[in-house]
Amino acid sequence: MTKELSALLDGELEQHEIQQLWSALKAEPRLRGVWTDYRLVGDTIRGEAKLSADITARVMARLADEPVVLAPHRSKTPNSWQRPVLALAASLSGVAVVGWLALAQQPPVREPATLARLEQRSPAPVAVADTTTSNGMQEYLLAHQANAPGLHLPGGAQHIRTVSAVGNGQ
Amino acid sequence: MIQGLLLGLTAAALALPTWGQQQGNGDALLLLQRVAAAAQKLTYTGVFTYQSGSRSETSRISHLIDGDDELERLEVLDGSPREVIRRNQEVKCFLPESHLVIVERRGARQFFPLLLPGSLAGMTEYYLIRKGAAGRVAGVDSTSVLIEPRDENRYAHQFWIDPQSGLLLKASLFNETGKPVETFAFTEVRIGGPLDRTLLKSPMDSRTLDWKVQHVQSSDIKGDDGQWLFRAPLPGFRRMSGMKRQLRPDAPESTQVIFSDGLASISVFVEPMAGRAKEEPAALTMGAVNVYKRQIGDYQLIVMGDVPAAALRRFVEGMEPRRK
Repeated sequence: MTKELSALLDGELEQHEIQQLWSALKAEPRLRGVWTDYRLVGDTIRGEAKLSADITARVMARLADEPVVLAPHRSKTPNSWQRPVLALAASLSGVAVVGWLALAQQPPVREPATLARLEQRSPAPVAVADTTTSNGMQEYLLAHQANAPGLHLPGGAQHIRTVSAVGNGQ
Repeated sequence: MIQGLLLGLTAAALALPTWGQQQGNGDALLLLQRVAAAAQKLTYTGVFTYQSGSRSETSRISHLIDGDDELERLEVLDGSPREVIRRNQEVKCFLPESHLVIVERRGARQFFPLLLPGSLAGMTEYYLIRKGAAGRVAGVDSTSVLIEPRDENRYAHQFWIDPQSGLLLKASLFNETGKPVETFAFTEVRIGGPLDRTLLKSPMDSRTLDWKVQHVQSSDIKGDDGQWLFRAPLPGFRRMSGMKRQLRPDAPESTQVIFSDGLASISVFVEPMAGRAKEEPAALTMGAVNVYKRQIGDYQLIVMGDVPAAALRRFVEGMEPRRK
């Protein structure tokens, strides 16, 4: 059934097949887990952090461990998806259920593209997780510097504190 | 390197004759006032170094006044190519290593004159302000102003100013022991236009499609919302503004209240605990900015400002939620 999920994400399913898959998803918690993981990865990569930071960090850490599995090309060749999908399902599990039914309304074709992009530069998103969890002060500093009155450095030079602190943390 | 000083000329003509002989307080104050006014009116571009602790970085800054538009771009030239661009009230901060753009929209309220005559006079109650030695900065003969604190709640500053335009060319901040903790200095500057508008555009603006975007939106809070008691207010610091904002998509709404003595600023961020893990109070330092984090009741406080760490801590320890 994970094969069909992959096909769904690739936009390769007919309408009646999609209906069948929805029924299967409703009935099978395990399959729903796989689907959720898929969406979670996508959301995380796109930065739509509806998730708490530590889940994001955990997912990112997992992705960093296994960058190789994240290569589901949008290929029409049968079976090209199989290993990635199974490996992905194995490597990401136990994450919280997000509203998967609502998500189905989004165009699913974007997903594989996002995954492929991640594969090209897998270290970068990990840095996001690191910065937001370990440092976490940059937004506050920007808000502080952008709004602080007083005798400003010329123009935007007060922001040098923000960007410099960020550079420092890395 | 200096050209087109049209804006500064009138003011300079009025102010210049007094500089020769008098070394008085009033003189230095007048200069500061011109700096405050010049910051938003001048078009200029230049390269400056920013030194914070042992770290030093070079950046390019351009500031353009074009009709009603105020455009600004700051590019860090060393290390990771971070950038900040501003178009009027919108500030975008590009952090390429994190693939992150932070967008902050400021309300129109921010455009009050930075230093009002009243607040300048008030500053002399807490700072000793006098003229310092003259010196050359970035090829410009500059006048310096020394600002020393009269108590332990603030830092000392020294500013080097182009007397003609009022542009601040160098600024140093000194800690309690008199050591410079932060220095900003132009190494090269061109004051006045024309300035090509394309210089103010960031190539990153179009390259960030797959970057994470954090919108920092804020809404004003009128007056004191009265939720917090400040039992240890720092003398001379007045509440300047208050706003509610969401700093991170995964964070609860945070209230920011800003206090200032005219030179130094303190931001108080109050957030609901919202299931956060309990943490001990912690002090952090980011260059000249000290941070003190503390949890109290159902709230987390993050307070930061360019004031001594001890003063900041005292201030935060004195905060408590008002009982309803």
